[in-house]
Formats: sequence, C-alpha cells, structure tokens
Amino acid sequence: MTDAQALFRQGVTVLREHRDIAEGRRLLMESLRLEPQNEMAWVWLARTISQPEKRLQALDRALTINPENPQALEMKAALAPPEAAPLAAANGTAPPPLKTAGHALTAREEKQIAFLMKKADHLLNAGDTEGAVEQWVEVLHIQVDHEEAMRLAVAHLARMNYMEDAQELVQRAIDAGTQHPSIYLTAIDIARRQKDFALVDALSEDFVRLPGVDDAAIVRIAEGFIAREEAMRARDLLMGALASRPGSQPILTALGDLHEMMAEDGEARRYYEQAARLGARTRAGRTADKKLQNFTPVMTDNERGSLLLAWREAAGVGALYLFLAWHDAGLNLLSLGLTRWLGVALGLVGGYLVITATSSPQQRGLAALLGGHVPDEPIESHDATQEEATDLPIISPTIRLALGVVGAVLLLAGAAMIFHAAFELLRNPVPPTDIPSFEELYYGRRG
Amino acid sequence: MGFLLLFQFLLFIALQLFISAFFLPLPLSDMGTVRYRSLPYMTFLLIVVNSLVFLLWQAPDLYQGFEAFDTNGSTSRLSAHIAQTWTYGYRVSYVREGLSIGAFVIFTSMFMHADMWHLMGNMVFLWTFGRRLEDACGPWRFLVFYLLAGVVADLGSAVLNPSAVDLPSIGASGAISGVMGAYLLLFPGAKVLCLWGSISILRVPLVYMARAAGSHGELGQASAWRWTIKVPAWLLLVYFLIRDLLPSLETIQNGQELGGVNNIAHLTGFLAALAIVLFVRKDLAVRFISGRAV
Repeated sequence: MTDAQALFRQGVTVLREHRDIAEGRRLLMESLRLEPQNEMAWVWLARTISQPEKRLQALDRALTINPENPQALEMKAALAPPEAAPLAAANGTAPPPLKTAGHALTAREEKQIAFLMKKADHLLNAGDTEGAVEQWVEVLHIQVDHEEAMRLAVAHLARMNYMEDAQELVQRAIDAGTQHPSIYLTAIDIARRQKDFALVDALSEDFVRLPGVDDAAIVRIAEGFIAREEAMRARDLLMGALASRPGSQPILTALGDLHEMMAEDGEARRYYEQAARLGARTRAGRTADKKLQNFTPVMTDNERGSLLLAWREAAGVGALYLFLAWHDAGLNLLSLGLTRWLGVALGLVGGYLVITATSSPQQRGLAALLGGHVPDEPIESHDATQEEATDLPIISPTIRLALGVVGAVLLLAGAAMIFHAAFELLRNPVPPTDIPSFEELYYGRRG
Repeated sequence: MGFLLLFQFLLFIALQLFISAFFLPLPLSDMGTVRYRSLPYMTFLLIVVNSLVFLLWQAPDLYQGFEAFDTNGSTSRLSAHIAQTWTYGYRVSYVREGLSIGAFVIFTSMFMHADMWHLMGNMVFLWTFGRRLEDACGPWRFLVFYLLAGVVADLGSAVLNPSAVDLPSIGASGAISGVMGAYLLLFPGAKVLCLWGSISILRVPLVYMARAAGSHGELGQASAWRWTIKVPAWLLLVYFLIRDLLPSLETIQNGQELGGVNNIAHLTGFLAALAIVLFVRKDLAVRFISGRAV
C-alpha cells in the first residue's frame, strides 16, 4: 500500500468513524497531493466541503478521472436544481441574490417585499401553495436571508418533498454570508434529513461562530457530538463558541461537564468555578455551583489579596475578646475600663497579625510593603493535593514567623488585660459561701 | 471487673439513646460533602477534652458518690460533686460579684457536664454538625467560633433570664447550639443521617404490606429493616430551635427557674451562629455572601 492510499484510508476512517471533518479533509488533501488520480479521494473530499461551488469542483475532478463514478454523479445531481421544481422556474430569470439582512434595502425593495409577502399569503389561502412559494422565492431574490420568507418557503418546499430546492435556498443565503442563526439551523436540519452528516457537522461548526446564537443551541450541538462519542470535537466547538462569548454560563457549564466526563477534574472544576462566579441565580450558574460541591474549592487572588477578608477574621477574634471582657467586667459593658478595652484592641491587632502570618500572607499592598515577592511556582491549594497559580506577592516565611510570634504575644497580653478581674481572683480567691449540701439540693442545672 | 462495669454502663447509655430515638430522630452523621477534605481534629479534640473533664474530674465524685450513698448512706462525695459544680459552673452572681474564679467559669462550665447522658448527647451533636463546619472554617477559626458561641450563650442566659434563683449552668450545649445554627445557615439543604427507632419499626410492616400487594415501587423493593433515616438538616435544626424558643419565652416572661435544661442558653447560642460569616474560609465567605452554595 502506497503512502497516498494509506492517507486516503485514514481520511475515510476519520470521517466515517470519528466524524472529524477537518482532520479527514487534511488527510484526503495530503493523499491527493501524492496521488491526484484517486477519484474516490475527490468524492470523499467533496463530502467534507459545505460550499456548493467548491464541492462541485471536487466532484468535477472525480468525474474527469472517471465520468461513470456513480457517487460523484449522484452528488452532482443533488447539487443541481431539478428542472421540474417551482424554484427552478423562478430561478430562470432572476438575477443572483446578494443582499442579506446586513445590507440596507431601498424603500422600493421594502415595498416590493411587503407586496410579495401579502401576495403569497393570499395565494396560500386560496390553496395555491406553489404560487405562494414562488412569491417567497422572489422575496429571497431581493433579500437572500429574509427570515420569514425563508421559513415559509422551506417549510412548504419540504412538505411538497422538494428538499433539494429548500437546501438550495438556505445554502444560497449561507454563501451570501447570512448571519441569521435560524437559517443555519434550517440548513442543518435539511442536511440531517438528507443524512449528509459531514455537511451537518460543517454547518454546525460555522453556526456556533455566528453572533447572537443562543447558547443553549450551541450546547445542544455539542451534546450531539458527545452522544456520538466525539468528545474532542465537542470540546473544540464549545471552546470556539466560548472565545466569542467568554461570559456564557451554559457553555462554561457544558465544558465543565465534558471535562468531568473525560475524567479531567482540574479542568472541569475550573470551568464550573468560572460559570458559578458569574452568578448562581441562573439555571446554568446553579448547576455549576452544585457540581462544584464535588470539588475542593479554588481560592482566587481577589480573595487571597483582600484586606477586608483578613480583617473580618480578626474581627471574629476581637468579638470573642469583647464578650470575654464584658463578662470580666461583671456583665456591665459600661464598666469595661481602659485596660479591658486595650485588651480587646490588642486581641484585634494580635489576631490580625496571626491571620496575616497564617491564612492571609498575600494581602494587597501589605505583602509588597513587607518585602514579599510573587512566588515562582504555583502555591498549594486548600487540600494540598494541587497547586494554584497566583500573581500576588507573598510575605517571606521569616517575616511571617515574626508576625505570628508578635501576634501571639499581643493575643496573650490582650487576654491578660481582658481577664483583669479574673486573674486577680486567682491571686486572691474569694470562695463562694452559698454552696448547698447534698441534702439541700440534688444537683445543679444542666446547660 | 471495672472494665465490665464500664461496659455495662456504656451499654446502658447506648440503650437510653436508642430508646430516646423512638421519640426524636437522633442525628448520627452529616451526609454532605466535606469540600476542603480536612480532618476534623479540632472537633475530635473538643470531644476528647469534654469527655476527659467529665470522666477524670467529675464522674468519680458523681458515680462513686451515688454508690457510697446507696451502700452506706455517705453523702460526702456527692456533696463534693455539688461543690465542684457550684464552684466552676456558670453562675451570674459569680461573674457579677467577682466570686469563685470569676469570668473563668465561662471556660470551666463549657467543658463540664451533669452526667454521662448529658455528655454523650452533646458530643453526638457536636460530632454530627461540627465536622462539616470545621471543614468550612478550618480548625482554629472553628475553635474561636465554638468558644464565642459558648460565651454568647452564657451571656444570653445571664441577661435574658430574670429569675432570682442563680443555679449553676454547665455543659457544652450553648456552644454546640451555635455550631448547629451555623450549620443551618451554611448548609440548609444538607441531609443528616439519624437514628429513629419508631420509623425503623414502622417500616417493617409497611415494606411487607407493599411486598404482599406485589408493589414494584421503591417501598416494595426496599429492605424491611434499616437503622437510620435521612432527615433534611433544616427540618431537624428548626425543630430544635422551636423546641428551645418556646420554653425560653416562658422563662423570660415568668422569670421562673426550676433547673433542668437551660433553653435560653441554647437559643442565644443558636443566635451566635450569625457570627459564622467572620470565621468561615475566605473563598467560602465570598460564596456565601454572593448567594452561592457553600
């Protein structure tokens, strides 16, 4: 077997079994470069091309080598509009359509479209479906991707079993550069009905790049790929869509699902996290947030670097000191006194220093001020099983140790101050005198 | 001999817990995912400290005192136990007037218990709800929160109880109420595995009836006996909250204090749970505030 034949067989296998059009096309073209006389390679190449003109060129090359090639003849016939179809009649005289929804229509054209749509409506009501279709086709000659005309024309052509005509209408709109997602979806639907799955895939990939495409539709297409065990293709499709929609929760969640299915937990978690951070009020956000329950959470630099979050923890320590001081002052907050208030303040500051030394060594501004530097390597995550990248400077271990020691000393000093009266009682005990005997009381109250 | 007695004693406590489970589901374990994969060593340490304080310091006088009382009528050890409870339990008069060890009774009372039943009940609840909360906070922040909840519970019982009788209050339940309240705030959708004898027994005839009727549904396919049921955490915790709320309101209104369960401490400990947002991990706090699951 020559290299060209091996490449040809690989290309066919990739197309048949993996439905990877891009890779299949590459292999077939490589094969044809080595052996341009392989007629079947031209036929298979034609199957990977969505544009009719280029598809026709490939088929012509196959028919030049073997004019009797049945597949090439069949595919070429499918590309040519049948003479008996009503579209062909309308097509005979009209100029090639160029205007899409992106082009401005003249007032005369708008008036003409309105007239034709109305006329089609009348003809349809009168039972003249073919006449109505001719009017919609006329509209599509003025504006090649007129959504309403396209929808009605394709629906009625399909009902009359003129699928090739319907396909031609949508393909013309696509070739003219339409940006209407609905027209692509119609084209995909027609290609699927005709079992031209290579075309379905090619159109799907073009579809997701359109602006304004519904995220749910993209996810549905990706799910179709996944159902056919084409996970990598689904991933490429979703990634391509994500490039133009970085804030799409459904796409991020779908990517998370896909990576989870592929046992790539780190990637799955990253996408779920991105989706959930965009908000948990939407369905996709809630789904992503729920999925995250299975993963160790990720801490971002925003959280690592937040002074507010660090002081929040210190406030917790300060609150404990305040309540303890309140008790020591005989449950009278007003008689706390300077010493105990100072103790509470030391508790707050000491707590902050200990927190800075342990859980918050990357606070913005402070870390750089204390000579911190951005770590060369990612830092350990919560559970120390993986590493997370960070762009924030981190305080050096020596300074952290010093801060921790100073913080601990302040906490102890603060504790000594807030328990001013209690420590005094330890030095000079005042034993209670009202303790009852067993006979007086069974035993005390439970808390 | 001593080992046999201890075994009998623990068996008796286990039986008591099982019997009580006929009236109220007894939480055994949290069913949720421990997201930070941390070991709950602070929860474990608190259980050990509470147990050691009771077993080594309180239990000898209490149980040997009862034995001596039954054998020869001596009350000296029981009186020593009472003196211990009254000296180191939480009494408002000690804190206000600077008696005994003053404000340090907050810490001593928090680790003391009235009897084995009281200790085991509290520790089962601490184990059930503490582990996941510790995972959410980290061990040291969890400890500070636990202490804060205990202090607030004591403060609440001192401020809100107008009774003239100043009985000592002991036990970890104020702090554990705080843990339960924080659990309710952070994980309202969680499921808790509970022992519930009445449901377990009712289940047997129901399953056999379903099988006899040829049901292929969930009940017909289920095993006839199961020790445990899964209860939504919010249902369980709201029940405990209401159970403490009603007698607390009665005490606050009537000012009566006859001993028993200090419901006001439980209630205020539960309210201390609001402070949990100061103690949870940074990323979790951000998720909690932004309405995401924690």
